[in-house]
Amino acid sequence: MRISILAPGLALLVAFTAIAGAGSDPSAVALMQAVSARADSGRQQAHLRFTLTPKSGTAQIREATAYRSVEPQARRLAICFEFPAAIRGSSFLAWDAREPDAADDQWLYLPALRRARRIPGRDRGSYFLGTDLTYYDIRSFGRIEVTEYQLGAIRPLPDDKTVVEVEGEPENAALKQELGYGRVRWRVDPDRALIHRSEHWDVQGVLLKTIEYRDLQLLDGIWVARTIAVENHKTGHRTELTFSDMNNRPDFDSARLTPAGLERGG
Amino acid sequence: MRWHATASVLLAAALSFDTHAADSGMHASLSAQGLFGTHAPSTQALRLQGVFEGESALGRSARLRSAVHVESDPTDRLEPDRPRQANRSRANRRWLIDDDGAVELDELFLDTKQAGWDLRLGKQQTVWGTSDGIKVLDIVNPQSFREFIVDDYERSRIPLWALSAVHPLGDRGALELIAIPDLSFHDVPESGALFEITSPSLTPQASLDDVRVLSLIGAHLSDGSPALAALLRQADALTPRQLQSALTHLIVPSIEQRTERPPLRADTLEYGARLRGSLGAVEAAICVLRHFNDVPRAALDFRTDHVDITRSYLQSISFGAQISVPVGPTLVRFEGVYGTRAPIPALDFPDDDLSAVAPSYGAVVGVDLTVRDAGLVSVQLGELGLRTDSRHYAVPARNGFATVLWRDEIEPGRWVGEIFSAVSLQRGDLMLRGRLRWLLRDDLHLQIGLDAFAGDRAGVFGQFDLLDRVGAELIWSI
Repeated sequence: MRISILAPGLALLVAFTAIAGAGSDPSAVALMQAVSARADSGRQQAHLRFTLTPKSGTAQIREATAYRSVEPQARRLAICFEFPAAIRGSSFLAWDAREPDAADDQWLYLPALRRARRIPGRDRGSYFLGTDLTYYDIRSFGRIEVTEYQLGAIRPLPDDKTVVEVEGEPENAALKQELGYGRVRWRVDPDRALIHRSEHWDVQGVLLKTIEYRDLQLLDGIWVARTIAVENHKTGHRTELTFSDMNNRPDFDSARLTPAGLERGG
Repeated sequence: MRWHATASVLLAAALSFDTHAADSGMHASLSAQGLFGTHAPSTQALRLQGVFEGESALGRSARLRSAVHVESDPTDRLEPDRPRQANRSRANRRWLIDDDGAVELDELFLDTKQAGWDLRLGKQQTVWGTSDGIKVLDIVNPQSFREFIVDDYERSRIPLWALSAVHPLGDRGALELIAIPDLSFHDVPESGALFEITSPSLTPQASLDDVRVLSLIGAHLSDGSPALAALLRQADALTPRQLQSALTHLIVPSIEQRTERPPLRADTLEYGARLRGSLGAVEAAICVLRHFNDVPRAALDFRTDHVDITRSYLQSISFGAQISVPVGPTLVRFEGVYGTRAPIPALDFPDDDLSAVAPSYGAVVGVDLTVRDAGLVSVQLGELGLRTDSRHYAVPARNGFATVLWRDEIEPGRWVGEIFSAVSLQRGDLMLRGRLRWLLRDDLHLQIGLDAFAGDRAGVFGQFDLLDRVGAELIWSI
């Protein structure tokens, strides 16, 4: 096994995270904490291409520009659709409150209405804009809330020394229902604290979907996945998100991530 | 004078196709639409439409956007002949190619930032209300009623030339100021149009009050009395509308109708402000707008040989408020508006101490719920009305309504459905608007629709009981 450059950090995290996910394997908690604590740009702009492929039939393509920022109160994400023409000009804005008790907020801008409509918050397990990713997947994007899972021991993979496997279950039945997952297995690169792949089982224990993070690249000192591929094993539906023109130091106006900015087109 | 409209359209078209500017873009869509009545099989409209949109970045902090709409409908039933457009300012009129074709500048504005303010200068839409289908606080832009309220939302709101400025206040707050040097008002269907408004809740009608009015007219005219007396004896056998028509033809040699548009001056400029913010999960806004009512007051004036009916617009100040708060899985929202002066839908006549003017109000409570993953169900209960003593006029002072909206992606990215229904709480009449959009290809989609009305023919919705229709529209995006 290679010597991880994160090893000292992991050791410290083990010490500080003994309370996280009581009953979890401390090494696994430390590893997933490292994944969650991985450097983040704070602000990001990218062109986003959604490829939605049903089990039978032709693929649907959607293209958008995504803006993301991490603020003290909330993580903010705006997706402004550009293609196809039927949804051109539509935008979605989500504020994911960082305080556990604070409410999340979402707005939808439809050009025909010329206004950003505040919409009811969705369950984290609801699917996001017709994709196979849930709102929880979108907001976590390769990270997890370690305290929400009971994590098992780290398992090395015999055929791939660069990654290890960690399996976890949401802490309780209510959380399983909320997330829509009964069990998750992550394949993690411990050196880079990066999730390469995750498999998700539903609450009944049936394999639900697989998420793969591909084309991993270092951009401005931050690891990013340029492609996220999801396969829903139940429906046969597949989603591929491809990022291009990624910018970890964008100069977009912060107002773009507000309801007023949505109405003004940023 | 059409030079202004022509120049605007040419300018917008040129900007739409300016592909050399950095960060510019242009889009166009062409559509063919057929609308067919179901009661008495007939064609309501056969429309060919084109929308040309352009956007150009001007430097780092300015952006120009334009949109031109071209339309032709040879059936010419929604707006028979050439619309007079007396309700619109000269700068806002459509360019009428012939009886059934028109070109309209939908948008032409410049966005820029100055001293922390987002400025938008030009022809634009400003939306303050959030209610579905029935506009309560959406008072800035007038609306086209040529298809009552079943037209597409984008087409029904009439853009205005305006300067608006938005200053962000914290994360969720903003102060918005607007000045509108464009005195344009609702497009109300003219007499003979398919969706001519006849409900007494919305427009002056023949009634016993009208008999009184016409008696006064008779008294002012030297030769009308014998015929008037004969007609009044059998008035009970006639419908109000027949009575009005008969009286009009019997005793009034001619009625001259005219619309008085307010002149644009400093004291007639429309302007307003809106402040929005939040407290915890509660989002709220208050607004005030000094403006003209978009519906004119109709007043009689007796002359020696004819009667003038003059329509004029009343200046008013409207105060509004809105609030929304998440409650469990739902979003509960309220909006209300109070206007200081609005016309009562009745003929206002001289020599009387009554004035057909009253304060107006509107309020709506809505509950929104997410269904499935991308669907929305919204239920509303509201009322629009006049704070007046209706004893003097045969006009209902209150129009209560309830609505339901459902919208969902039936198959994500391919099938989208929407149903909106509204019912009048006073008369029980109702309307239903259904749309199903099918994405055939990335650049081609088909929309089929159904519009239905039912109930009391004197009702807001029931008046169109015979205009139920189905339709299909094929839209090609370039």
